[in-house]
Amino acid sequence: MSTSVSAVYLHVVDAVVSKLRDEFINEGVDDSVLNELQGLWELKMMQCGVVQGPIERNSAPRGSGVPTPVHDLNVPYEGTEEYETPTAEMLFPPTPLQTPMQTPLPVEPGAYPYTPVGHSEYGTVPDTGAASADMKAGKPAPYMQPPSPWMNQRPLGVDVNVAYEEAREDEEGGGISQPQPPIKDFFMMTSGKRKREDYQPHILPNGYIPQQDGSGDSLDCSLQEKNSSNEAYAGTLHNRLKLQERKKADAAIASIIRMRRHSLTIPQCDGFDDVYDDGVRTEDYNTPSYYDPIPGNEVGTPKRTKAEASEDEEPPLNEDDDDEVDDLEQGDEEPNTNHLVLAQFEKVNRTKSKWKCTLKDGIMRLNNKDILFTKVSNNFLSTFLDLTLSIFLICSISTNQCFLKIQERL
Amino acid sequence: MATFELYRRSTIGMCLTETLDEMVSNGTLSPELAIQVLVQFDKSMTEALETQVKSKVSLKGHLHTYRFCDNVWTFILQDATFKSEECQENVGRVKIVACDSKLLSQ
Repeated sequence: MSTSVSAVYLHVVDAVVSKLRDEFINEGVDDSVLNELQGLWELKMMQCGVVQGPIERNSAPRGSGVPTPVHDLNVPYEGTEEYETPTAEMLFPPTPLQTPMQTPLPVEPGAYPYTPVGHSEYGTVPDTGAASADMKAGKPAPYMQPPSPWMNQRPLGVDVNVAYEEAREDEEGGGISQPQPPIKDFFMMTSGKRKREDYQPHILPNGYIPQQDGSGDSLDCSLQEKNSSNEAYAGTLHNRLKLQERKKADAAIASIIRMRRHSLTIPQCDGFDDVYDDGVRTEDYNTPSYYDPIPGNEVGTPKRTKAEASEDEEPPLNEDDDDEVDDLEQGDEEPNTNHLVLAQFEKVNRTKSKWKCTLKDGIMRLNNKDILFTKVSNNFLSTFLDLTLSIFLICSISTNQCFLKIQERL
Repeated sequence: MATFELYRRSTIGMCLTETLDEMVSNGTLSPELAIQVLVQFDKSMTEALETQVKSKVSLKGHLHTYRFCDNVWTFILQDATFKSEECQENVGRVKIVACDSKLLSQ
């Protein structure tokens, strides 16, 4: 007897593994991964019954026997034929430590929803805890000091807090009245009217040139408006510094929002951005101004939900469009008996109602058995479709001749 | 060299795909390597069928559907009989998917 199906499959497994061994080594993957792949693959084939275990590597041929249908693989496989590239989320599951950024503020040591991750330009550099968490998440987050010369003069994260506390002390004209981290301050954009005449900015003479032509850096229109209104007060150097700092933070926050938006498959239209996979987020529903949605997300959601609700009540519009003949293909067959032949064709001919195909190098799965062949020939496939086609063509010539021809054929 | 991804739909191909899916989900294997594995499988499977298999089969049946698209023939046969040297199989309905063998030799 020629080589059995089981032996051929094992030969294929061995061939694949041996030829990939070098590739795996080049990629720096351990050999154990390849062995694990081989083991799992063979185990699954044994479960399907196409390979008889235990597997002997001395290539002794075994009879295929009667396989036991343990596991059915003929159900439509949900994966795509092309290997589906896992998303970044599958490869790098986000760690819960990703978001919170510890600033020395006494008020909220925990969740800062718009903490920029991995953004080195952000002024308030957090402590190393969050930085290491970012490193752990696989994203290079060099939380180093920004190179701006004016930033060098400030201790990390302290100055902003000092300024922030000063704001709370002053509470001028809509100063920040709530205990919030600096990021929220930018979102609220309550005022840029804090006047810090007594605050000495540390500016190098050759370094920083503040932007005075209105902000084009921030994506948020409201921020831009408020920045432009703040320009009137930017007479002092300190205010310019604050603006610059704020704009950089805005850019950082905007990039985070873009990232989060990309990660969301369906944009949320019912209010707050419920992003749970990034970790902790405190949802404060009592303060609507807390959340600053990106313009464009502000959609009238109630109307949409109503439309969807009405659609659900109505029957689907394409209900009767399916051709009944097509149902036969999906039809009443049990999944177990979905017989399949995969092969290459050399020739496919048709003579009237007879089809002849020459196939080669194929795998057949029939009655839960795998059969391999090198050639299929001398086959005879009849069809009734050919008769129908003939009638149609002849009718187009003339009716009388049509009836005659049909009689001839029959 | 082009390969036929046809054989990935076979039992052995599906076992391999599932295994690779699991390993990529676990992070044990990178997707690029998984694709390389599949491509190598295509080549090895085609080669094994050419060299290792000697049996010939004949088939008969009623052609219910035929389709030729993108150089791939798809037939659906009803009440088909497959005869080989060792056995004979009768099935109520079978799908045949065949790629052009000339594409591989190009």
